[in-house]
Amino acid sequence: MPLLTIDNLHVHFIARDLGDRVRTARALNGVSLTVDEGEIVGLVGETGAGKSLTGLALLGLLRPPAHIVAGTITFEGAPLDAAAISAARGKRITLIPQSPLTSLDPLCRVGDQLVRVQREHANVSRRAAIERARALLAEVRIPDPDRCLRAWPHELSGGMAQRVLIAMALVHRPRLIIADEPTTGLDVTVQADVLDTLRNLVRVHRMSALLVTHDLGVVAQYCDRVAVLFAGTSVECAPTATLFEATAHPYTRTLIASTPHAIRRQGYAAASGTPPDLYALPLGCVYRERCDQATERCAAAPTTTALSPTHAVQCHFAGATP
Amino acid sequence: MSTSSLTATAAAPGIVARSRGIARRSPTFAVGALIVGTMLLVALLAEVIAPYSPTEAFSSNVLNAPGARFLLGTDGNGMDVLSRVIHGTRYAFGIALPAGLIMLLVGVPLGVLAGYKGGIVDEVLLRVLDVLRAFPTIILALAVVAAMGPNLFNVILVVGLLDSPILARIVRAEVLALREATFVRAAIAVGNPPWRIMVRHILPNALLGATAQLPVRMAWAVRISATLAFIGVGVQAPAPEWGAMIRQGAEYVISGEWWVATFPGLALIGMVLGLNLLGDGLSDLLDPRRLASGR
Amino acid sequence: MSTSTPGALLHVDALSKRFPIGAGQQVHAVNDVSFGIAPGEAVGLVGESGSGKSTIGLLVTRLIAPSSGQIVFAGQDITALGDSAMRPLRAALQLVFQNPWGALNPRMTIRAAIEEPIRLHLALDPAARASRVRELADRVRIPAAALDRYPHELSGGQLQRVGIARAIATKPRLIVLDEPTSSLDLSVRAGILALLDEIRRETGVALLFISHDLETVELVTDRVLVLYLGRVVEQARTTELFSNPAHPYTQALLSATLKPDPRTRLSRHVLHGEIPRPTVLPPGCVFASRCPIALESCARDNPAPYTLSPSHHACCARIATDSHRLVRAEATSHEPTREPAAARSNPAPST
Repeated sequence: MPLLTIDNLHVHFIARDLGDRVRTARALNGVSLTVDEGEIVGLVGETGAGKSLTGLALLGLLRPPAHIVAGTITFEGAPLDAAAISAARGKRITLIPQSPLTSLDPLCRVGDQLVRVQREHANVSRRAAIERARALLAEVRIPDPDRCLRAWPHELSGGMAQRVLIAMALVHRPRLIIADEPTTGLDVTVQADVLDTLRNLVRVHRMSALLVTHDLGVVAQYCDRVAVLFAGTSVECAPTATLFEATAHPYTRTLIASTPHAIRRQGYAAASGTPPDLYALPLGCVYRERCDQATERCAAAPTTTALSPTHAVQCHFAGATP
Repeated sequence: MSTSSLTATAAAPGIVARSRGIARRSPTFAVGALIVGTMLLVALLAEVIAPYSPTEAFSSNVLNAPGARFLLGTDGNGMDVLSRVIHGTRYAFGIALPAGLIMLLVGVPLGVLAGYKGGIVDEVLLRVLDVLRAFPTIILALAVVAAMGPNLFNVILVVGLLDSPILARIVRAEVLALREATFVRAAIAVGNPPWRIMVRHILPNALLGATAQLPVRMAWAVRISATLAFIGVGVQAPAPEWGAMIRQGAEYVISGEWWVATFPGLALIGMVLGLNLLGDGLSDLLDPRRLASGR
Repeated sequence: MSTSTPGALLHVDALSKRFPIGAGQQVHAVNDVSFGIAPGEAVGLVGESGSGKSTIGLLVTRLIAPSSGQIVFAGQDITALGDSAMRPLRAALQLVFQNPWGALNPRMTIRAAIEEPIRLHLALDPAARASRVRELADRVRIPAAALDRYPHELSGGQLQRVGIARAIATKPRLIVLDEPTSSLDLSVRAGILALLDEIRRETGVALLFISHDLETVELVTDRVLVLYLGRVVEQARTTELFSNPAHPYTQALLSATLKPDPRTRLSRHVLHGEIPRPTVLPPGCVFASRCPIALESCARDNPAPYTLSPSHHACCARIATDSHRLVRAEATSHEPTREPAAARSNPAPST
C-alpha cells in the first residue's frame, strides 16, 4: 500500500475582484498521485501548474481564499484530514522550503534553531538536543558541524543553508519529506551535491520524498517516478524512464522537447502557447487550447488511461499512435 | 472563451460595484473619502446649506445655547455657530488645496532632482530638512507669518513652502530606490538622456508615493493653519475659520458656553482625520504589488 | 599583449572591475579578462554566482566603468566614454535583462516601451514609427492587442519578448543578453531561444550570452568563456569545450549538469567547499582552493593560458603535463537497483 495517495484533489481560490465580482481561480483541477515507501516522486510543472500548492495542501497550509473543493488525501492508510495533518506536520510530514536563506530565523544561531525544532514536539534536554543537532548536521554532510552550530544564518552560503534546512526537516525522522524546489537558485555544482545528500538520506532511512521542481534534469537524475502537472491537473504519472522514453501526454512531450538538450537534437519545436488562465480554463481537457492534437473529443474531460500498472495518462489519445 | 492570453478586463464594472470593491480592499480609504467628500460638498454648497450668513450678528441672541433656532448655538457676537462651522470648511479647503499644490510644485521637482542628481541639491535639501526637524515648525510658521502679515495668502504660502521639503524627502527616497531599479538601468542602456530618465521613467513612478502622502500633508496644513489662527497670527477673527473660532470660544468654555469652541474643534478633527485616512488608504490602494496580484 | 583584433566587433582587453565594500576592502569582480566577439558571432559567458559574468555584461555596455583594461566596440575605444558620448552608440549595442518583470517601466505601455529606442535613435515621423512598432511586435509575436497594455498585464514570456523587441528595434550589431531565459518556464524559454535563433539568422547580430545554464549556452553559442572568480579559466569553440573540457573547473561544472535524460547517468566530480568570497585574490590559480588535482605550486603561480588548439585555451598548469583529467568517481552517485516497478501499486489517478 502506498504511503501517500492523493486522489483527484481540487483546490479553488475564491475571491472578489475590484469590481466586486466573485472570481474563482481553479488552481488544482484533479491532482492524483501516489508516493510509495522509500521512493522519490517528482512533481513537475510550470509556474501556476499547482506544484507548490499541492505541497501546501499536504501540509494543511492552505488558507482562504484557497479551498479544497474535492478530492481526498490518504497518508499511512488513514485519511489526512485537518486533525491528522496537524498531528503529522513537522513530525511525520516535513517540508524543505524553497528559499533557504529566508527560511531560517536570522536572529537565532543555527544550533539554537535545531534545538528549538526538537523541543517543539518532544521533551529533550538541551545537551541531548545539541548532540542530536551535531549528528544531524554531520548527516547532511556539513564539513564542520560544530562551527555550523554556532553560525548565524547570514554567515551560511546558500548550499549550507539548504543543508541546515534538510537537517531540520530530518529531526523527527519523518516518513515523507516535501521538498519544494530545494535547489532553485543554487549553483550547479552545489545543486547536485545537495540533491545527492537528500537522496542518500531518503534511501538510508527508508523515507519518501515528494520533490517539487520545474527542472527536468533534476527529475531525470533524482526521481523514481514523476507526476506532470498542467493547470492543476496531473496529466501524466509514470516511472522516470518511462516518462522520458514512452511519453504519452502531448504536454509532457512539449515539455521534454523544450529542453535545450532536446532542441539540440531535434531543433526548435513550434512555439508553445501562453500559461493557462486559471480563471478561464477551457471545458474538457485543460490542455485543449495548447494541444496540437486537439479534436472535438477534447471538449469532454478525458478519463485516466492506464498504459501500464504504473503509467497513467489523462488524454483521449493515450495509447493510440500519436 | 477565446485564447487571448491577456487577463481579460472585459466590460468595465459599474461605478457602484467598483467603489464597493475599493471599499473592500481598503475600508480606510473608503471612510476617509466619505469624510473628505462630504466636507468638500459642504464647502461647495455652503451658501445653500448654511441657515444664516456666517458673519451676521444677532445682537439679541449672543451666546445662545444650541436650540431650535440656532442648532449649534451662537457665539459671543451673536453669530450662528453652525453657519460658521459650515463656512469654515471653505477656509480649510481654501488653505489645504493651494498649499498642497505648492507642495507638489515645489517638493516633487526638488525631490526628483535631489534623488537623481545627488550632489549639491541633495546636500542642501537634506540640511534644510535637518533644520526643519530641529526647529518647531509652528514657531517658524508663526514668526514668518507674523513678519509678512497675517492674511490668508501668506498663511497658504508659508504652510505650503514649509511642508514642501517634507514631500521632497518622500519623493527623494522613492527616486533613490527607483534609480537602482532594473527598468531605469534598461532605460539608460537603451540610450535615454538623463532628463528623459527623470521625467519619463522616474517621475511617474515616484509620483505614486507622493500622491498617497499628499492628503496627509494637507491634513498637516489644515492643522497648522488652524493653530496659527488660534494663536492669532493666522486668519483673523470675524472670518469663519475654525482655529479663529476655537480661539474665540476658548474664553467661554470656563464660563460654561462650551458650544462655541467645541463644534469648530470637532469639524477640525473630522477634517484632519478624514485626510489622514484618505492618505493611508491611498497608499494601500496604490501599492503596485497589491495592484498586480489582484486576488 | 594583444591589441584590437582586426575585424572584431567587440574587443575586451585585460578588463578588471573592483567594487569597494568599505573598510578598505574591495570585491574583485572581474580580473584581467580578455576576449573578442566577431560580427555575427554568439559568445557565451558561463559561470556560477560570483563569477563576474553579469558585471562583464554591464562593463561591455558601459553601464558601469571598468577599473582597468580596455573595451573597443566597432573600432571605437569606449573604455572611458562619458554617458552622453556613449548614447549614440547604444543604438548598435543593446542589452536584454534577466528579470523581464523588472526591466520595463511599470507606468509605460508596451507600445511606448517598444517605441522608445526608435524615438531616441532613429529620425522617423510618427507614422513610420508606429508601423515600425507594429512590425517589431509582429516579429517577436506580441499580439497587437497587448501593445496598449501595461507590463503587469503580460506574462513573463511576453515581457521578455518586449525586451527583445526593444533590443532589436535599432538594428544593433551586438546584443548582450544577461540570463535572458533563466527566470522563465521551460516551454516559454524554448520560445524565446527560438526567437533569438531566428533573429540571429535574419539580422546577423552578434550575441554575448551570459548564463549559468550550460545546456542553454551549448545550444545558443558558437564560442564559450568559462569564468571562475572573475577570471576566464577556459575559452573554446562551443563544440570543443563541451566535448573536451580541459580546465578541472569546467570538467566539474559539466559533470554536475543534470541532463534531462534518465539514460545519461550522472557521474560527477565532487568539488569540495564553495566559491570563496572574492575580497582577496589568491596569488596563484583562482581555482586552487577547490581543485581536486591542485599541485602545491598552483596556490603560488597564476597559470598562463595553455593553447590546446588555435581556438581552445585553458589556464591550468597541469594541462602541459597532460595530467589535468579528473578521474570520474563512478558509482558513487548511482545506487542499488530499485525494486521492480510491478511491486508497486497502481498510481493511476481516478476521475
